[in-house]
Amino acid sequence: MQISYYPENVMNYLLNPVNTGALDIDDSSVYSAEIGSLDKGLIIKLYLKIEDGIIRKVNYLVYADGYMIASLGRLSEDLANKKVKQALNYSTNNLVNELEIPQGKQAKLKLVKQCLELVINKYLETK
Amino acid sequence: MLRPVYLDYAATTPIDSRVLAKMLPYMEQDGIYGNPASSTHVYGWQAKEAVERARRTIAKLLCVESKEIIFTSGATESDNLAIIGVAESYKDKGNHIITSSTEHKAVLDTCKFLETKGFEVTYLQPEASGIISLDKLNAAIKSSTILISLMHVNNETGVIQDIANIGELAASYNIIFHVDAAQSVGKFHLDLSKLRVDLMSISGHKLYGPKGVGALYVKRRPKINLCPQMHGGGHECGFRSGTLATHQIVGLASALKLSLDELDNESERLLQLEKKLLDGINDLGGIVLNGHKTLRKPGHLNISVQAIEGESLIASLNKIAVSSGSACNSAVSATSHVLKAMQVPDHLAANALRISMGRYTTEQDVDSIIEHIREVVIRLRTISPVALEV
Repeated sequence: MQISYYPENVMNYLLNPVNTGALDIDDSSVYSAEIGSLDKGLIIKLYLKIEDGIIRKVNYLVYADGYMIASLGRLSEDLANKKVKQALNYSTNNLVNELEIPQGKQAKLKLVKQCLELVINKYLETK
Repeated sequence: MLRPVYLDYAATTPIDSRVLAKMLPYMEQDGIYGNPASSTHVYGWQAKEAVERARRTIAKLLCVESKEIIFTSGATESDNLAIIGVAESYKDKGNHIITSSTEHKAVLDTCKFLETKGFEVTYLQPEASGIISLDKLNAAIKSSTILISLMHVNNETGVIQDIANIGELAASYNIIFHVDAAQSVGKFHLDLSKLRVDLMSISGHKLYGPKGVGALYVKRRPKINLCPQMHGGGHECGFRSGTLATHQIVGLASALKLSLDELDNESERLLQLEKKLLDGINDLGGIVLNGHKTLRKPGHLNISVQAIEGESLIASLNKIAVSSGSACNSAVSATSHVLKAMQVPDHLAANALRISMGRYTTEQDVDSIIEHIREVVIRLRTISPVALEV
């Protein structure tokens, strides 16, 4: 019997969001990008603090369904202290499995990945 | 499992224990379980008497004749019988039907079905308040119009239509007027002897009665002809065949009587609770009440919360059971056709919450609901990149 709207893992991130909020964009090691629109029901603003090729911190602001909020929460944990190169190879398939994201919702993960790539590309352009 | 506070009384209501007590004697072996159509023995006679008593009760409460009440399985069936029944009976007179784009799917889908059979349907667009303009209705009437079907109270917004004046207008053109009153019977004092309504759909489970039972009021003077949709025995004066569910019918009558007996106090109580709830969350800002501000069923709110996505909002509100303005858990959320017709922006329609309070909603419930909504809205807005609209 269904007892919550989303799977337990997703509910945990939704009710206790992690690593949320903007990072200080005046900090020269902080890079950010935004993707989506109100009409699409999804807006992601992603912030990465990158020092010497290492992602020190991942934060985000998000207007999206619970699966995407949980995906960003999980991604922010997965990428902390990882190398930029590892982040570029980050596969959203893990999120699908761990968060039990149904097929109809998986397309939005492409936007999460795109947003991540946008931020990292901004960092790479400065190198 | 601790269940959330139930705030979805517009979807359905629990059976009042007093209603259930009236129903139970009509189910068990030592009770009155006979088929009301069995005319050869006391089991049938007793059941028939119970059905006819219930019919008289309902008729009296609505100020109509007993023979004008036809029992059905619920408002959806009543809507189908009324609309298709009229269309088939009066097709020689005309093929045009007027309804509105904010009707329940039981009416909209039935009208769409009739379009495939050669009928022409006009779907009136509401004002932003959800009200259907009499002028627009008047302008839509043609010489071929045989039926106007408009709901009394909207199931999503709670907005009340002016069925008195709509009825007068329909009568002035000699057009049959059907009202889907699933959300309003038992919630308002309706005197059908004064309203120019020809057909009215009634639901049992919206007024603390059982699911699976309803009724259709069919005016006899002047007589409204209806082509039956269920065949097999000619029950209910030939309008609706099928064995009558005595216990359900007894429950419907009992539920309606209780609702109307307690109506005045209950309406006032729900208005107070509704006000308390709105007052408790309005200072959050960006709380939009969809639909008319006052022409609304007491205790029924449809609100949108700016800067928060709809599905995450409703999932986070896990301490209350409410309906959302969209069908979620699909690839593309289907925004409410009612709010869309009222031109509510998509992003607000998508996060609309229908909060419908009822008989068992307490002041303490409302206190905890306010606290819960505030906590969730503040949390989700803290992580939202969307600014509040000024």
